[in-house]
Amino acid sequence: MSLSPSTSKMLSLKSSDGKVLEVEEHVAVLCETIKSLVEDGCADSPIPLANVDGATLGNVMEWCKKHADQKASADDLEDWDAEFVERDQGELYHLIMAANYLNIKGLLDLICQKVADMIKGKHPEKIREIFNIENDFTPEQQEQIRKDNSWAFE
Amino acid sequence: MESASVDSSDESRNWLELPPEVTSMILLKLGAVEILNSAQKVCSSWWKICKDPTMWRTIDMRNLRDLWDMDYDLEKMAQHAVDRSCGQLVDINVEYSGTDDLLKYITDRSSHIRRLRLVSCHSISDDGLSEVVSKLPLLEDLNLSYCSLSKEALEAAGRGCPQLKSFKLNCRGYRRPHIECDEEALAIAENMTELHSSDESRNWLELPPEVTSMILLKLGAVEILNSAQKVCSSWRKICKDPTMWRTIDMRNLGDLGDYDLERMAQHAVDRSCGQLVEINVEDFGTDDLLKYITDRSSHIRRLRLVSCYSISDDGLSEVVSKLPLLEDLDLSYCSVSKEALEAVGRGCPLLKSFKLNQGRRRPHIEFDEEALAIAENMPELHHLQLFGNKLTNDGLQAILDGCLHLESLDLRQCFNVNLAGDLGKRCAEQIKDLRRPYDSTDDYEFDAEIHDDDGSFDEDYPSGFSEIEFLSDDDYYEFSGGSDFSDYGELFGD
Repeated sequence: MSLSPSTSKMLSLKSSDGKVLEVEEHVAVLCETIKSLVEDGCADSPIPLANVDGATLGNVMEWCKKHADQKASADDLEDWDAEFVERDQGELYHLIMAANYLNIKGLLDLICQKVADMIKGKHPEKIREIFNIENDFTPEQQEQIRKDNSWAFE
Repeated sequence: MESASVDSSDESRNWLELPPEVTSMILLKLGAVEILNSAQKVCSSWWKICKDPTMWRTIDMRNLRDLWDMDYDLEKMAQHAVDRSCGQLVDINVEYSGTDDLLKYITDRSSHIRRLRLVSCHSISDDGLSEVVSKLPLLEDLNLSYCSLSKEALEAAGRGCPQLKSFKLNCRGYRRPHIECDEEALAIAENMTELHSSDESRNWLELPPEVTSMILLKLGAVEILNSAQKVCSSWRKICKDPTMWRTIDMRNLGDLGDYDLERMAQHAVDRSCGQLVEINVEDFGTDDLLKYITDRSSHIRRLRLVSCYSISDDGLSEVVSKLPLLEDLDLSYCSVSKEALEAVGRGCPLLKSFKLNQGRRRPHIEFDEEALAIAENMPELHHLQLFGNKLTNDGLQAILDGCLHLESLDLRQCFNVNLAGDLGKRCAEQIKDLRRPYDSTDDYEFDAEIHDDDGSFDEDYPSGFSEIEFLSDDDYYEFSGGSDFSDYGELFGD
């Protein structure tokens, strides 16, 4: 199947909050979920994406558009991606969920890396703070974790 | 049913023998729409379970499956669900479908609501919301994202719900983002003093576990063991799963304190439960660790032992027979004899990619033993990297003859090789991706951490083992010490 930019038709995508986005097919098919709909001829118009809100869908398609651009060099994409992931964690969260749902491996990988970079080099308390995760271990579990830590030089 | 065989009926009966509380746990995961539309219609025992008010303490009216072509009245359905809760309702989500009337219906019948999700309820008005909030004295968690509500309504919510701990009011970021409006923030600040978090951060634990493991895998084993697994019980559970340990990368680029990398690696190997496929013990691997790993893992395909100076020829030779599936091996900057290389070739018949990069010292010394050992014992190689090797054209000729599948060959800084003549021509014809001795080293993977730091490097050697003794012992044997790396400035520059 060849999807050259010049002949690509438009697809309508409808977000969970009812926003409709017009996207070139060769861009939208970077989402495996949409690609299989298109290939199976099930791409109703508009395609309802019940798990992605309009703002996130806009961001996702911005990424797809850049990455569908044959003219973009690898270096160019890398710089662009680095800027793309400079977002607050709420947005990153929505992007990760959307990339997972729409099955866009490259984007999912990119955001996962960004989130991993936010975790790297930090102690558990700091990680809890960043992601607002509660320390829900029981005293017994805490003790077990301490015991597991046989590699630490205290 | 009549045609069902005895065998299959045995199996199917079991589902109704599940304890009712387990069945309700399952049914609760369906959400209210599916419970009302299908689950409760399955049989009398499911019907009974679905009638129980405890099933309706949490009502989730989201319906992701066919939200877009539903032919039922969500509002009526929600009312019915609320009726079934008999006033026990604690948590309700009427995302997309909430209206002023529905909100009134819910709050008139439920005085214990703690969590209320009204995301994208565009038809809920300021007055409608303001009117009901006083009936939600226990409300702790409210999500009004993507609704259109005024400052006054937010103030009313704050006054009516003094217990409010979590509040979400996400907006569409892309819509006229340049417009400034502080009214909402002020209303929140002045009226919701009990808030613990007003953003989306709680959601991180709601990520699908497979996505969380993707993130955590990118941390590497050291950070997983030292910090990520200590964050909370759900991360810990993910970090205990053997599938998280199929790849173990013990490189440690951060600084989380002092620890025994060898014990940590052993622990990581234990967690893999024999599923280990790929491991990197760069910089600290020992004979004992290598034995520990290979005794417990028979599926290793990729092994990285870069700069593992304390791995001996005997240690390596002993374990290679336990790596029959090994495809990718990196022994760069290790000290490996010809005999050990031969053992590797014999023990690992599937070896496709091999790296034996070396530091560059006394490049004029010619030495073909390694090249010959490779040529004669690793016939299946597709990728070979010999950066800084002392091989000559003889060694190269042997490799071209012995490794007929070779697709990529890196001979950078192999200054004893001369590709000007026929051999060079043959190389170019046989090898798809050829890096020549004087090619650019810009993309060479090793960095200052391994080579630049001469001080710590020397500390790794047994005391009294001077560089001079080393070189007189075996002239080809190279280490990075001294000023010889000064010309690597652009490579390892800081």
